[in-house]
Amino acid sequence: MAEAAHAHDHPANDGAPSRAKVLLREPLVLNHRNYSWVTNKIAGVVENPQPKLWWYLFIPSFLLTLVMVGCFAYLVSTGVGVWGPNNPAAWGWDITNFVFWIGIGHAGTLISAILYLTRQKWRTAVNRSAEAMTLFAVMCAGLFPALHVGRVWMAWFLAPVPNSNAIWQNFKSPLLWDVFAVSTYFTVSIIFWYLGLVPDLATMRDRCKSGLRKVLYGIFALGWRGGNRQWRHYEVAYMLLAALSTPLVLSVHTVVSFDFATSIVPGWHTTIFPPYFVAGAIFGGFAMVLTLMIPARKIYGLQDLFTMKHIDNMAKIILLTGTIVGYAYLMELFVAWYSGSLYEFSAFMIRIFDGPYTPYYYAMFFCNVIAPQAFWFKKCRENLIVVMIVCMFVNCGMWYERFVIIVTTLARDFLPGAWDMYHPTWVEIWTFIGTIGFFTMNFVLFCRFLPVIAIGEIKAVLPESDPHYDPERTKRDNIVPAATYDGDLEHTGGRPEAAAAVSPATA
Amino acid sequence: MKRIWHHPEEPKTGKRYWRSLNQLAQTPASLEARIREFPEGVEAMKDEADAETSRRSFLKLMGASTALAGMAACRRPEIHIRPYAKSPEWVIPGKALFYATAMPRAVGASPMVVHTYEGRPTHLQGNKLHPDSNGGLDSQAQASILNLYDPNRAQIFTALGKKTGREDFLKFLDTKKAELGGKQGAGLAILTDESVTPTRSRLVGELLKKYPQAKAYSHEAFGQANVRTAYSAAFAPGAVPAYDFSKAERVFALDCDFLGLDRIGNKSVGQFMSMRKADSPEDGAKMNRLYVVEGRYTLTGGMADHRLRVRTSQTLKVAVKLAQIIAEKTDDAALKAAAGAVVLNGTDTTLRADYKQWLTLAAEDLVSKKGAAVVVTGSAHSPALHLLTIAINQALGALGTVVAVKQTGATPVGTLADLAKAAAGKEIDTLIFAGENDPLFEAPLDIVAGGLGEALKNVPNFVVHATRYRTATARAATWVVPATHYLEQWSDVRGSEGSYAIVQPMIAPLYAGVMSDIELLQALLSDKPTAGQPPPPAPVAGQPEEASAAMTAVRETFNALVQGASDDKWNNALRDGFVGGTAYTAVASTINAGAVNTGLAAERDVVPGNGFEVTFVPCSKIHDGRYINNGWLQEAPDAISKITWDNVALISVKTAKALNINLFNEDSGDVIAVEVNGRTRYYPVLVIPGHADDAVSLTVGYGQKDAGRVGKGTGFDAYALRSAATPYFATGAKVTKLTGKVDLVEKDGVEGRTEIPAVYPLGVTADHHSMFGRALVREGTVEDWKGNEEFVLAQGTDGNLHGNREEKNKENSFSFYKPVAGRDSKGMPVPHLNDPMHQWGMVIDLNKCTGCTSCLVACQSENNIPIVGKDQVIRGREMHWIRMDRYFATDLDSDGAQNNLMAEPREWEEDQMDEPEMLMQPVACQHCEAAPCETVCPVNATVHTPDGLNAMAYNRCIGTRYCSNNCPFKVRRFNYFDYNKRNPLVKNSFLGVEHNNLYSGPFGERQDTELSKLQKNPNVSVRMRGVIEKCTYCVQRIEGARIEARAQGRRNKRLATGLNDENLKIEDADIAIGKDVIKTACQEACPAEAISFGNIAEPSHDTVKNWKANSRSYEMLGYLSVRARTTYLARIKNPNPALLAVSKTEKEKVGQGSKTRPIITEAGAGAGNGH
Repeated sequence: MAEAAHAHDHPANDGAPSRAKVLLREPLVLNHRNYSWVTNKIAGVVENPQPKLWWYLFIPSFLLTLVMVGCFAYLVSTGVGVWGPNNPAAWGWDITNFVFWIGIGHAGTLISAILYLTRQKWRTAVNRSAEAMTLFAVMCAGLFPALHVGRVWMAWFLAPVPNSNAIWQNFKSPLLWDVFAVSTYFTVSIIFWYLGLVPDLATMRDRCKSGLRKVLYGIFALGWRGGNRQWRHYEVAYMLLAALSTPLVLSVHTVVSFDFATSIVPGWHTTIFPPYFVAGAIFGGFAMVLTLMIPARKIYGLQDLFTMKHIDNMAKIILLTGTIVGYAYLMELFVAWYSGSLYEFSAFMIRIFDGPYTPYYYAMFFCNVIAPQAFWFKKCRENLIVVMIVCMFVNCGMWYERFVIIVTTLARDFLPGAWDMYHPTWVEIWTFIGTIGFFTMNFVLFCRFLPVIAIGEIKAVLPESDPHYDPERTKRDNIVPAATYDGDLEHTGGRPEAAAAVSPATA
Repeated sequence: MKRIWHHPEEPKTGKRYWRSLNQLAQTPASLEARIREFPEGVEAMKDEADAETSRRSFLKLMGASTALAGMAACRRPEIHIRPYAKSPEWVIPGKALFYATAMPRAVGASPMVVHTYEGRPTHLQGNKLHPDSNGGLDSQAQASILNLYDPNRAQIFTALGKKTGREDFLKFLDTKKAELGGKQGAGLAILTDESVTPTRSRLVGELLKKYPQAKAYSHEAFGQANVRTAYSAAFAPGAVPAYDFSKAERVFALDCDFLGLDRIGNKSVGQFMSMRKADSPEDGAKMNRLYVVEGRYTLTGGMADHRLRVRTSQTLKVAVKLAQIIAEKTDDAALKAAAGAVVLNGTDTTLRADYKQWLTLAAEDLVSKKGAAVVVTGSAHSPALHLLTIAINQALGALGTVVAVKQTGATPVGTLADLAKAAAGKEIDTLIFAGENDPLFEAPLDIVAGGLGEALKNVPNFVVHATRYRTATARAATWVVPATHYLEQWSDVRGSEGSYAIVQPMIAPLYAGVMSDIELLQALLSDKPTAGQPPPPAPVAGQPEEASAAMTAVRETFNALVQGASDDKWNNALRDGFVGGTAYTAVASTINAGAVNTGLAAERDVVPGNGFEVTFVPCSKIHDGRYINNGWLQEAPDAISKITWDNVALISVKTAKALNINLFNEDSGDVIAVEVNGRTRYYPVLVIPGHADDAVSLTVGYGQKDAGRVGKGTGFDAYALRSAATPYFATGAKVTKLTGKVDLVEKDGVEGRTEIPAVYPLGVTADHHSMFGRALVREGTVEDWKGNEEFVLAQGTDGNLHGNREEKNKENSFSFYKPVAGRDSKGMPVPHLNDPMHQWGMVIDLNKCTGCTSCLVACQSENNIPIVGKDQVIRGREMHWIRMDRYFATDLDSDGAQNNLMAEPREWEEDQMDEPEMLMQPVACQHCEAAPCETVCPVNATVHTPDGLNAMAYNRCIGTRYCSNNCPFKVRRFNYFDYNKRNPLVKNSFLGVEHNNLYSGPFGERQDTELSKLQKNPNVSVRMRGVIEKCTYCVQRIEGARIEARAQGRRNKRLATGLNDENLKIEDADIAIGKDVIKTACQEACPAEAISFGNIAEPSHDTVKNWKANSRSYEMLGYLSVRARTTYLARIKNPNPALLAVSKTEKEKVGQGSKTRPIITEAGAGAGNGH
């Protein structure tokens, strides 16, 4: 498949297939880019003036962030009643959004940690931005449970702080596990992300001529000089953090799913939730990575670094996890029937037949199970418009999934005498839109100020980094065509190629 | 810089002042002493530290602290507890004192015990000692306490709408009195409501004696006038019936909601339920059997063993048929004559065959229990129908056994129609109205339009004495006299069976100068001028109260009524709340057959099938409209329709379909136009199964103009369609569905509304009618029970569990949680019961519960539960700790319960929806031992107490609402807003967008006024926003009893042993709370005594224990093994086997398998008529 992709990207070279070519993997960086090109390219994104589109994204998302702040201020000052939940359905969009954002926040650490440990080198182009996305998504997610409580000012009761009442937390409560799981996940993710940034921050520092930038990058680069010892320590620390993050990737959404799975509400009370939620989170997370990176790649001209190969890989993961999710949906129905429990069964009957929220169920099913099936076809995986459309479906579908799980279940549980409908209010809707703005704003600021791709890591996957690298042989075998894309210098603003202060990994 | 202040020099000239000889002599010793006493420069102090307090630094500090004082706003306000320096006797803050009093009502007293805290009445409960009470109290009586604290109460005197004073009014009375004296009272008229107040009647009587030309009238929209008329005609003037349902084995209710709104006596529900005792299957044979014929579902219909759905206008026809059959069976000539006397409409004298069969079998059953069978008829029906009922009861031998005829001695007074006539004839100069109701609003429109309304304008002096300003009557008045609430006044009242009770004030009038009706009449009666007299002095704590004039008047009545009246007897009467032996005396129950037949012959039957029929019924919430400004009642859902804050037109499913009404509206209703008696009015529709077809029931009392802050803009006026000839039901109505909104600006007479939308939002608390095959409310017949003691457990999913009751409760449960596994080494049950003495539990007997919502209001009053307003009810945020679930059931449902898995969750089975049974189930916190809410609270805000309560720590709650989600019963309530603090009833506008005040947050109007605080129970936290709350089993009462038991136990032990405190050994048993000592508010209020609460830890200790052991007992959702402490007793029906056999054969005839039940619908009426 690798050859085919290669062939596709560079049809001009198809004429002369060679033996060596067949054996080689498709390069992760196209067009035979060298170290300095990589540095200039990525640092250039930060150093050059942003394209107009950046402002078109930043200003509305900033305004939406203000809307979000306003909505939360209204919520806290006035009461949870400004949202739509009621007595049977005490949670609505709040927890739906929480789980939605937490799910999105999954892909980042998965890409950085698990793919790192499994030596999936293609992660290097994606991991930085995916991790950033994770952090922003977790920030959005954290806002909801923190602010949806009735008395925000008492939310510190959730923290195990010794107090005069001698009341401790209830460690049986999945909500408390949630607090720990999410905060641990966020903390580890941010450290992991920052650690990975250090060498690149040093690069940025070194490329700065003067001014505030130099100082700030300097501070955050923590005195990185790129020495051998530093690299060795860095690699060990990075690996340890990757090992630490890996279980967290699985635990965080497992714990979130416990909010539902450990309850006794029919429709929630099911053991399938942890794997199903984790698969769903990876599914939704990858879709969001693609949603963000496909435009970013285009805007900043990163096609050589973030290649079709990456998109193809991620599309396949989406197909796999989407199918797992679909299996879970069907299995839920089977179990509901097989359980022999009237309540369980009717909870699902209400979901899929004539319940009040039935359309949401079908929307969810279409978006999450049917739409990703397009990725069975290579043509679809290669067509960026199709990929974007499917990813959008998945993004919506994952939101619907959480809505269906939370609201449908609560609105129709055990006693019909207590049933009632849940409808969101404008405050809820704008809060959610506001968090989308907050998320986008953070992401565009990230693109603006930090290297979107890990410079140091991507260099390590260049052919030059291979100790057995033989430029002559490469040229001879015409494995990788010479650079054909010359707009680079222009894009770096004619800046002289500051020597790649950072050497590739010594390993 | 420090400045030293020097002593001024001694003046050289002038006088010299000295204090001592030494000083005068200026001895050194004196100088030294002076300097020591007042050292120089002392004002500025000397050292560094003192320098800080120089004037300058003082000013600096002052300035700073003044500036910092502003920071105090950042702190919580401090609230001081001010203890009494000298406490009034008995007053202990936070400890209730209980006083007996009674509430005057049209049907007789509601005797009650009032809980007062530091002189504030907070909660009402029935007075069990009173012969006409079993301790229960209906929701309206309970909620009447809120009217006392109603901020919209009439507080000041007004004359022609302008503020005036008590003195001015009394001056007016004095001049009027002088005028009237000359004319022998000509032109004076007094209009009252029909509450039975002996002192008021006596004073009115004296007034009529003093002014022979004066006239008295009375009015009550839903009074007992028709019953009294019939009994007066049949027996003797002043005769009334008194029912004793504990003697009735067969009850036939002829459109009579005697278990609900058509109150006969305070005891009738309890007496009826005493005949439905079902402790064992053997009791089944002794159970009474209830037949109900009615047009809309009522609470009585819900309790029926057999119910016949008949339009209200056909009731007379059914009664005649029943009378004929009974006359035939009993061979009773008098009844035959009576039945024959009614002129039935020629065109349709026959009823449908299946009606006849139903009636025949029912009649046979009644006759078979002759002497213990009774027919009761709705009090709104015509006197003729009551006369026929008397004849039937005579034939059934009920007179003298079940129905006693009593003599009230009341003399008839004029009606509203008479008053209208007199006023139109300009015979009235001064009209004084005293009453709780609103005659001008309630009066049939032709009386108002055809005389009363206009005529009252001719009355120069129309004095309205009322607690409400804003009634239609008060608006028409020249003088409005603010009245005392019955909890503020001296008065008296008779029970429905006549027992005399004294109404004593629980609190000094909240507003200065307000008058009670007795004071008003006294002022009118008094020969001396009343103006200029000092107002009665306010009682001083600790001092014996000076007898007020009103009290003296009541005492006079008491002296006349009670034999050998003495201070002791008076005090006893005040303490007990009634005087024994004062019940009405029986009248010889010989019927004046001639009068009966004449009365019946005058009755004309209604032509059936002529368009729609409209029935006007009192509202279960606001009665005749008098409680419109009462938030508790407005928000207490109607027992059957579950509507709050509005009234609706009830129609059947079939009719709704014919009218093309949307059956599945949630939180809204299509609006229909009802045209009858030449007028058109608009009402939102609620489709209620079990309603007669082609008929509309309208609840009255709503749609009042300017009804106060609570009642404002609620509901639609149904009185507007009543005519004097058709006060209860009207036929020939036209009903159409609105397709677009109607602009009412052009149309007159629709109070308070200018626009009617085609779909009107409705605050309905339960949108679902079916149990969807989930055996939540379990029921069976006596036969089911006899054959199988465990039939209750066989229902629902639990039926799939193996084994008997014990085993089902043990290992074979589905649940994850393990039930009690046994006992640990200390002999304590596992899970641990830390308090081996007390473990609280509750049982609700569904066989007794009518669903009247009295428990719901009791709980609201006891536990400081706020109202949330219609807007929030629509959003599903009502706060009631007890929810009254109402389900309709058809045969399909019970089949579904057997084989539930494949029963589709469909709400409506088309053919059966109009013939359902109705089931009620109060659901409050079940206090699960393995409570799902407790495990999920992250902050431990809801935990278990040692005595088995699922407790809620409001201060700890942060409001994640997870507990509510995980509660299978959904009984937890969340304070989405500051319902106690912010007024949920007003609308604000922001940038032109109208929104509820709650949404204004910190800028919203507050309602936590001193007035509203007065009602609050000090032992229950008033919850703030953002916390969950729920039923606590009235934990404040439990703790009160525990404290009491401990103190009492110690004291008793000390007395018994003679030991002092140090040597006293207190054992558990010494301080155990006694048997049935604690009553929860809901239990106390239940008129049917359907709730039992008590200690389940002590074997055979409490009633609750026995109830739990009953074979009807089951746990709702028992398969979850949450081990709920509240359990239910299944409902047992006692159907007539003969009627059952008929329906069985009908089923086979219909041939649609066992799933269809024969549908009895009315023939003739319907298609083509009126729609």
